[in-house]
Amino acid sequence: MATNGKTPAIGIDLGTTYSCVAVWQRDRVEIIANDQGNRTTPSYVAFNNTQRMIGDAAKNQAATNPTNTVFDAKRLIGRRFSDQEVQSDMELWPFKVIADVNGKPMIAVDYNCEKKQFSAEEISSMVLAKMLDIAESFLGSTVKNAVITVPAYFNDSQRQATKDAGKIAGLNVLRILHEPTAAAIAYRLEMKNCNNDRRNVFVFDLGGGTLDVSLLVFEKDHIRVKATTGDTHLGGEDFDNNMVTYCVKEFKRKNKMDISGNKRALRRLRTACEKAKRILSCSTMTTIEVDSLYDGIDFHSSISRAKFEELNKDYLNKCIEFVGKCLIDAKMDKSSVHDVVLAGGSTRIPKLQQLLSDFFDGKDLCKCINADEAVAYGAAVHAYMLNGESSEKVQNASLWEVTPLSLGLQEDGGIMKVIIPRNTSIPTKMEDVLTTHFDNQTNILIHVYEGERKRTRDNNLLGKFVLEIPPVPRGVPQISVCFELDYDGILHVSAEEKSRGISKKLAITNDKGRLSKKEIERMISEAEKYKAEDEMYRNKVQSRHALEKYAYNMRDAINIKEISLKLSPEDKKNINDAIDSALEWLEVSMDANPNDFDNMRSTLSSVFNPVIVKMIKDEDNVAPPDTVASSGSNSVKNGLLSILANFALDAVYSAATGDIIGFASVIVDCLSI
Amino acid sequence: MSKNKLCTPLSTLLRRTLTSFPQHFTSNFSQIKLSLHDSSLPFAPPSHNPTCDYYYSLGFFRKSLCSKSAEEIQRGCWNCHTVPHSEPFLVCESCRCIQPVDSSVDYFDIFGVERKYDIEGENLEGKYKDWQKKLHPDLVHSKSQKERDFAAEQSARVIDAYRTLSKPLSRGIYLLKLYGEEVDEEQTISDSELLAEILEIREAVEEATNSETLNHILSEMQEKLHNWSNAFGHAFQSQNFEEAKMAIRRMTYYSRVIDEVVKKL
Repeated sequence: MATNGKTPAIGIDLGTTYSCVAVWQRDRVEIIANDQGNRTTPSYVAFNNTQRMIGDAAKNQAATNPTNTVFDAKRLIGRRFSDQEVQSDMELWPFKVIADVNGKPMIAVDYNCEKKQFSAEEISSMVLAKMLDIAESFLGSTVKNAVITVPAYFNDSQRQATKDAGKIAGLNVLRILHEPTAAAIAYRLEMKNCNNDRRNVFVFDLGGGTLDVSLLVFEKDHIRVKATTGDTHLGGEDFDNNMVTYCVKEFKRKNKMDISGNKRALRRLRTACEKAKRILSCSTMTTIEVDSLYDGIDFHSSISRAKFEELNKDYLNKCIEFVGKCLIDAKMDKSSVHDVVLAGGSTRIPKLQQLLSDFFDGKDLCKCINADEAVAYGAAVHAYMLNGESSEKVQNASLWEVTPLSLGLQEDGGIMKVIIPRNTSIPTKMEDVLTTHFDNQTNILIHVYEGERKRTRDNNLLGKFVLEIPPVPRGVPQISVCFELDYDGILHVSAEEKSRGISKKLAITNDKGRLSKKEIERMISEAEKYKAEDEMYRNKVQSRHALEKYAYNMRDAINIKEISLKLSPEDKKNINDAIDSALEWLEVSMDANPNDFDNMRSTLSSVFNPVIVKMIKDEDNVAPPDTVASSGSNSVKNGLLSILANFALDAVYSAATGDIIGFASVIVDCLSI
Repeated sequence: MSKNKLCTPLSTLLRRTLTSFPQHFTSNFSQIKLSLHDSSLPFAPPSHNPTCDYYYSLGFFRKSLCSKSAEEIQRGCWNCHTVPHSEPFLVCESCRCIQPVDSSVDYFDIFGVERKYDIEGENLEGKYKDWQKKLHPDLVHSKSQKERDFAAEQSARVIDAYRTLSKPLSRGIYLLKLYGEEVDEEQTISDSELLAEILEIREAVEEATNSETLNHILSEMQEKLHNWSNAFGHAFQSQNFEEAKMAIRRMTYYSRVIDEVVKKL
């Protein structure tokens, strides 16, 4: 599977609503299907009293377990509890979000009969670990290296937190890659007329929870980002929310009942609305139906595509505004754009496509790449390249990225002084020289901010630190502050007092929501603990299944005519009673441990095996009277053994090793006679 | 050791010459440079080549870096120790390894252009792309951490160099810095005439309600920026650094107004 014996690097699209994993293999990208056969996996994690579920299993039980089913971790990661987006989302989420002592949002759930709190990084790491499992199952080998995608408009905190999530999941994150850039890589590989001319490509990426618009220039050996902008809190889920709100009003109007406080009802309604939204992409009319939505009352409502567009027209128009902003930032006229590429599932909305096409004066939009998979596809290509591999088809194009947000310092009066302006190519390193404003000042407080607003309090505080300096008259110290933006878009700041040769390299402190090294290590060990617990749960389920299979095999065996005729009514009753006891015990012993299941199977064996052994021996005892009879008895005996062997074969197929041992021991006992 | 001795007399000679003819610095510098190639000069060893001469002239401006530059030349590539035969030495042509940052190489050196204000027409973008194709972090991701660090630093420096030299305002500030003249961008403006002008312009921008008016203001500001850019060029060329710094401050104000107008459009 892996070429050159090197473990392959995978690309992961960690989405707000769905995630996708891919790998470059045999000169093409393989989108890897999960254990349900789906190529995208819900970004859901669920907890109950016995187990943790991730992906399809988590989403499928969301309606029955709404308060412990977590999604939208991408809308929490790298944010503060006090952020307006977090506060408004909390009203829509059925799970509980609280603030820790540092103002960091934590998700509270019941897990294994305990109250637990998880950070968004931990939830995202569980999704990433699931995607990793999917990839490793497909490849048949351990995977360590991965490229993880993020929205281009993610800020520094969101990027760092995503990288931390990868670390917690046990991954070596080769690169934090921008989603529209990944889509551009996918598009470039699919381009038919792959000449070497310069090509201006506009990527519009609207997923479940984020919007990115980027203008890129394709050249022979590199892809250059000219400008990027977007909204890290705008996506398909917002359209769903509007539909849910509309349906709640409709239900209230018809039935005079308010269901907005019922989490279970809302979950089922949301699922139906999402389904309707998808149908409206290819039909102009559909119905939203939920049986027994609330208090035994069914919900039924027709909705047209036009109605959907009316409900969401504000969001749709907001998307188009970002398109205009991006072109202005890139200093490019829309007529200069050669291709408009769509990525992200929500770009399938017909009205959105029409608005985009109209904006570009009727230009055809490029839909040749699968919108759900393009980002993971491009990430896999880039992961392959960063892993040191090369292929004729991959073209080894390097990526010349830009920073989406301005970075700077706080000046007196709370004014933002920009050091690195937005859309600066990365990596980049820029310095500024500060001085004191008071005589004999002994320290300087440096606040680092991110954003486009004039006042720092409206921007994102990244960190702060204090630089100690010797007391001298004001204006004399020369403090050089260096901003270094790495290729993942993560900022490193240091400061140095020059005039006296004092060099103090200080890094940004973690007091504003960034995970410390110790916290990450704790989360890694906790992730391993949860994985071990998952493994224990899996073993328990397998043992339970093995016991159940064994019991039913026993019943089937004694119901075979050849065997049934040779058993006394008393023996049959004993075996059936033992089986019934075991099955009844299973019903009331959901929480038993694997040893208990194994012991119960031993008990069943102790009832079953002596009867069968006795039956075989009785056949041998009939043999001595005459030669003909002896021959007949041997045939019967072999037939019985053959029948029992069939059940052993069934046991083999069930992959429950205990069964094999059980039946094998019976056969061995018989053969030893 | 002997090179240091040679360096001192040359610096002394240059300094003495400058003292004698301050008003004609540029032309005298050219003459002196030419004369360095004259084999008849008694103190010039015949074995010296133009590269060494070039570094001697650099020593005048960055005296403290002279010996370091010599060391860099002698050291060669950190990986294969090949002596470089092209300037500037960011990548080894022999083994293609990226070299550590040499801070004595300035932004003009990186692009192979003369150190002067007026460099319009130079193909900065093409040279910038050429460097990125050799230095980009994507290309060395599987190499050693040491080389990856070099690539990140060199790439960042080339990006900053391109950004700085491609705009007249930042290019001017950088040039003054190379000549030891720092522009205090936050210095409070004391020119009451300029203050009145800026306030008037800002009021006009705030009151403008249509794009026609804004475009008119924009073209006015661009013309003023262009005029002060020319003024800077002249002042810098005649070594009038105070005049040059004043021009920079004016350009800064007009540049900011232009940004605000563009944002409002």
